[in-house]
Amino acid sequence: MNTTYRDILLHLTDDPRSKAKIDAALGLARRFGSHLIALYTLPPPVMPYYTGEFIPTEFIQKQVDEAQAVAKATHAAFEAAAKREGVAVEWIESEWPALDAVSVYGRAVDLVLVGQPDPEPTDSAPQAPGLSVLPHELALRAGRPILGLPYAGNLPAKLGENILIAWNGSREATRAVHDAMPFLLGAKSVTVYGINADRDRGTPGADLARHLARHDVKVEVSNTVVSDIEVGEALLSAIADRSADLLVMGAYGHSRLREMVFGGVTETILDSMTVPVLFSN
Amino acid sequence: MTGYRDLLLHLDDVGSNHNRIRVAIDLAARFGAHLTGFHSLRPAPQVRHYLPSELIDRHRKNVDGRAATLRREFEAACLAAGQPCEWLQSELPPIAGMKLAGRVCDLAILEKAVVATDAPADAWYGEPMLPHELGLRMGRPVLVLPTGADIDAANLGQRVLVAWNGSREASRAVHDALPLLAKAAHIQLLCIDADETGGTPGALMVRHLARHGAKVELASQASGEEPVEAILRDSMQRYGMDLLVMGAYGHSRLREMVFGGVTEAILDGLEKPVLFGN
Repeated sequence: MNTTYRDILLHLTDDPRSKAKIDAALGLARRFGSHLIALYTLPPPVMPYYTGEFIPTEFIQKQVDEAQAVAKATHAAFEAAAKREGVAVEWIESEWPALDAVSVYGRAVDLVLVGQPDPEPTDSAPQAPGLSVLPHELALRAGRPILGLPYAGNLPAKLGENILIAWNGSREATRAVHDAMPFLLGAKSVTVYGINADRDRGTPGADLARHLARHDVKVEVSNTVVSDIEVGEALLSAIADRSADLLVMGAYGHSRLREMVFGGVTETILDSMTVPVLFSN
Repeated sequence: MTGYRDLLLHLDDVGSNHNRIRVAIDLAARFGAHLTGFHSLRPAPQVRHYLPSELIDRHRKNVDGRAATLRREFEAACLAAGQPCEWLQSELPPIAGMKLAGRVCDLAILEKAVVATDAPADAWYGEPMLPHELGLRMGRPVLVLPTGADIDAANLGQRVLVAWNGSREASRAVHDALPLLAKAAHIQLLCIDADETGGTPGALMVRHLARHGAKVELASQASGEEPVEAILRDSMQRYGMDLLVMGAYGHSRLREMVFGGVTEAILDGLEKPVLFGN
């Protein structure tokens, strides 16, 4: 557990939101004094397998060339922005599927930044598979905190001034809290939003508050008990009520019953996510 | 580095608590941490027939008496060392109680239990499984000390071996151990089959740790025929290491099964303290 993130991994790909992501990543790298690594995953060529016809190599080559041209342009934009901001950066290109590539590189950094995929893309062009990664899926694989940036709207310049912790007293929740420590230390206000922690025999929110005080993080605790299907909605309204600009929560697998409840929550949140979410497992 | 600010020590009434108290106080002092002593009260034995209330009362008295003795030993040691401390006792069994309390600590310290075969209540008590269960489900790092070992507390964490297979668990363990790694004199990251399993290469981890101010020597070995635990034990001995850092693995996934067996084998033949993360 650190007071800062020494290195940050930013996932980029062929995506109209690249510039916004780069700006957000550079902002965080400056704030935390981090080394910033951009990992660009090249989209695989789309194969029209259903034609049953011979696919001319030029067809594939054209796609590869186009993909590489976009990568090159994004790289140039990234380097220029980094130079302007005075941040030490590194560029990696990978042809692996995004989830695999980001997992492997992500295990050796302090924070991973990914874009949240748009559930209803406005661009009607077919998306190449394996382009984007789900932050919570990645959190399960990488074992490091994953910061998912919303697919819409402007990214706040100083995200994390007003943090909401979704606390159910589970191992995933405590992982997320400790992984978010650098954000918590720099926040103006932190709310521990206890959801069914006592009912589900988790560690009470008040105990978390006392522990965080020993890390010099002052928090406010607010507890609620809601039925399992209302958890996601309760969380979304708490975010809106408090104008939170960062949500910290555990990423849950799908195997355990309690996890399923919160796992479902994860998906509700992602579908309506308007604030960045820090996920951990 | 905020380091470890909050340590949780598990105390039991089976073995001696002297060593673990000494190690915990030393670590707490090193990091300026708060120290909580945790003890589970044994329930009255479960029997099918009617148990006279005098027996239950006597059991209760014994349990309370032992808890009070433990508490005095713990608090006296903390007081003598000027260590701020707190006492927590619970009627939950150790696994459940430590999990609850441990989620809001930075490091839990346990000693591998002496398995008492004669007491029927011990199955419920579940202590032999404590390190493994906490390693997997507490969400905070666990430091497991060998039973009754005379550990050089002041030098614990000076020479560290990190077991690296490139997995998420291994990454968790390394990051959980960062406060210790930052102060270590010598660290070796031993890669065992990291590249073959699609894991993160050890070289990336070494570079990352350098950014945290930890200088790490990279070593690599293919396990081949030799069991991983034997490789780890050999390396611990050969390089005079005093702490092993490794992931705690469950049994569910194929890859985990390989290292999962390692977790248990390491615990079975525990000679040096191990820090587990998951």
